[in-house]
Amino acid sequence: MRVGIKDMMDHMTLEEKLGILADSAKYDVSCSSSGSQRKNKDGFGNGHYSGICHTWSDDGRCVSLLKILMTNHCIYDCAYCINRSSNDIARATLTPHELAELTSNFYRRNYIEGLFLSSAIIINPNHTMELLTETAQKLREDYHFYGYIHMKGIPGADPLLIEKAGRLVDRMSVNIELPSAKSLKLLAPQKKEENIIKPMSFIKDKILEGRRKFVPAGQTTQLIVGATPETDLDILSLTSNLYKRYRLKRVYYSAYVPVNHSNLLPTIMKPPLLREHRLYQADWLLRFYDFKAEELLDAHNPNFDILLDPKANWALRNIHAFPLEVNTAPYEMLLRVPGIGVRSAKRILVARRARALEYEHLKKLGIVLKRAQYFITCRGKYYGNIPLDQRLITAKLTGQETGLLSPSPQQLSLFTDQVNAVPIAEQVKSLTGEL
Amino acid sequence: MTIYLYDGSFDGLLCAIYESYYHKDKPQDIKKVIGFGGSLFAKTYTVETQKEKAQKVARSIQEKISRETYENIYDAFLSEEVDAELDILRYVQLGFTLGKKLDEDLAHPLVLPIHQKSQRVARERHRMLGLLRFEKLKTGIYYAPFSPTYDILSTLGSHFAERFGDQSFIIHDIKRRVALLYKPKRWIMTPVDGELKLELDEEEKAFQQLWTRYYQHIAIKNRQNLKLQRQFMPKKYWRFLTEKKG
Repeated sequence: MRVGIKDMMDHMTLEEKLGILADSAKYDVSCSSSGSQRKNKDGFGNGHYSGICHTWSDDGRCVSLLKILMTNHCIYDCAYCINRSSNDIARATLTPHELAELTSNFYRRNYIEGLFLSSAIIINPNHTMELLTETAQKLREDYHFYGYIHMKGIPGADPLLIEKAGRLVDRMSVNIELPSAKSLKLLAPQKKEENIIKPMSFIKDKILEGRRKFVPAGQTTQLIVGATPETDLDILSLTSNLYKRYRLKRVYYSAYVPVNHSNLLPTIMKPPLLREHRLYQADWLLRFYDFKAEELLDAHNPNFDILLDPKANWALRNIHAFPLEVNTAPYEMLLRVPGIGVRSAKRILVARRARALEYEHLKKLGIVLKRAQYFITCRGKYYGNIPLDQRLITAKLTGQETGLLSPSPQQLSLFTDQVNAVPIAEQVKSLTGEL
Repeated sequence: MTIYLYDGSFDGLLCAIYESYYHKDKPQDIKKVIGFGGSLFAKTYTVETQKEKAQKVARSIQEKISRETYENIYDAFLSEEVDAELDILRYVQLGFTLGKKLDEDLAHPLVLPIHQKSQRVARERHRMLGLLRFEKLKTGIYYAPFSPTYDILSTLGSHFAERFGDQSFIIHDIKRRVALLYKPKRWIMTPVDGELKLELDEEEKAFQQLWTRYYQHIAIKNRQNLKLQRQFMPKKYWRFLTEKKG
């Protein structure tokens, strides 16, 4: 304990504490407020099923919830984490009362949809979980607050405490952080794998018991990308497993931002944002486009391409399946066309019932022709302007038609920063995950 | 051919649609009386707004076409775009021949402009659900001024009344000089003339500061992306944002 910091802490204003604890919470990427249908009964606040963004911070991320740590005092010393016990940083703690006041006053001014409460481990997991739960209970019972609450399940906390919290909140998450047992052991030796899996399966079981009021917006987790040597295939297989076995609502990916110096960690200049983006795209393909992880990556290509998104990549490797006639192709296949998303595929289904679709209709229906043109026909006609050839289309889609570049797609390497190599508007979209 | 003039209200527009079926002169265009600059060549016909006629049209659109069509018309009307009225008339006319299938013909040249307008309006409305900012006044009332591109005030009432069931609030469209007033459990809309006298609650500034501090700290500096930020949150909305106006 550094006396200087502790001393300062006692005299900290609420504003200073808020700054410190927001700083400590910001590397958690999830800020979604979706999935809740909670109604306002006798107080204030309610759920909005698709979620609402209230502002966007300078990094372009949506701010929906007051995302904050209760405390950043931690008994653990995880190598990658800014709050690890051996770091000399300002520390602060908010009481359940202060947290409830902030949430309520922010909510009433329409700054937020609710609270995302997380915490470092103070004293022990149970003590931490108790304080988090007390905050939620205060908001629900004393403040009559029906807005969104997302709470961290603390690994190693008693299931009874998790259960109590689960009945108060809308969403829970237990962060895995490092995408393999080996990496976990290396970088976070005090966080045991079974301590993460236990609360996760417990929450899943409770949800499946069918009690409507238990974590109604489901559970999520987060994986850090780029701090450890797992491939994209490793990560995507883990993800796929988490959706199947633990029924997770979302898996979030967080490009590793170097906050500590350690021999165990890679030295990088910039967080691997493009890699994170590719994982979100692939994640979307798993959840909404009915792709399987093994269709997107395999042992020969264990990492995503820099220049091509996973869907375009799949389409080019399966060029024999194209072109598709938009007026007759089934929904599942329309979804596989680069440039056609879930929304535009649905629009095609509706609109083509009313009339045979012409090429000029497609743009109005929201199809991105710049990409889709190479993979479709419209009333039998192909509009791609170049032959249906894998190499030619690849060159078009990557904007590299000079022929000077190697025809084999480049791979993202793990510990280098290649974000700057990407010229396209690609980076702009990078946080929405939409294709 | 004739230009129909109406009073600018939604009921007025519905009455214009009514007249287009029953009046002997068919409309070549429909315009609001206010702002109409006159025409050298066309005749004008001033439509009288009558509640019963408006309701008749509203009902038959919902019954013979669909509720969705009716909502699209309302949203397209709120767009206040110059061609909105005529587009709405043509869309409704087509609807009375196609019936329920009207909104399935997404690529139809008379359907598409309405869908596009209503989507623009719906998008701004959804944005505003998040971007509206309330300040607490000395009287305990929460006050939110804004200046939306489209006339969406009337579409915000139910959302905020449900959410802030126990708090009195005012949403004030500065540009159109209209306000929505809510007092548990009722809301009304009323014109606002002149300046409002507003005195802030003594804790208000402190909470604005707390929020601004939070906002600044939650951004990850290594990932700064101002372009993306502006894409989601266009600068025209910053003027009323607590965290941005400072």
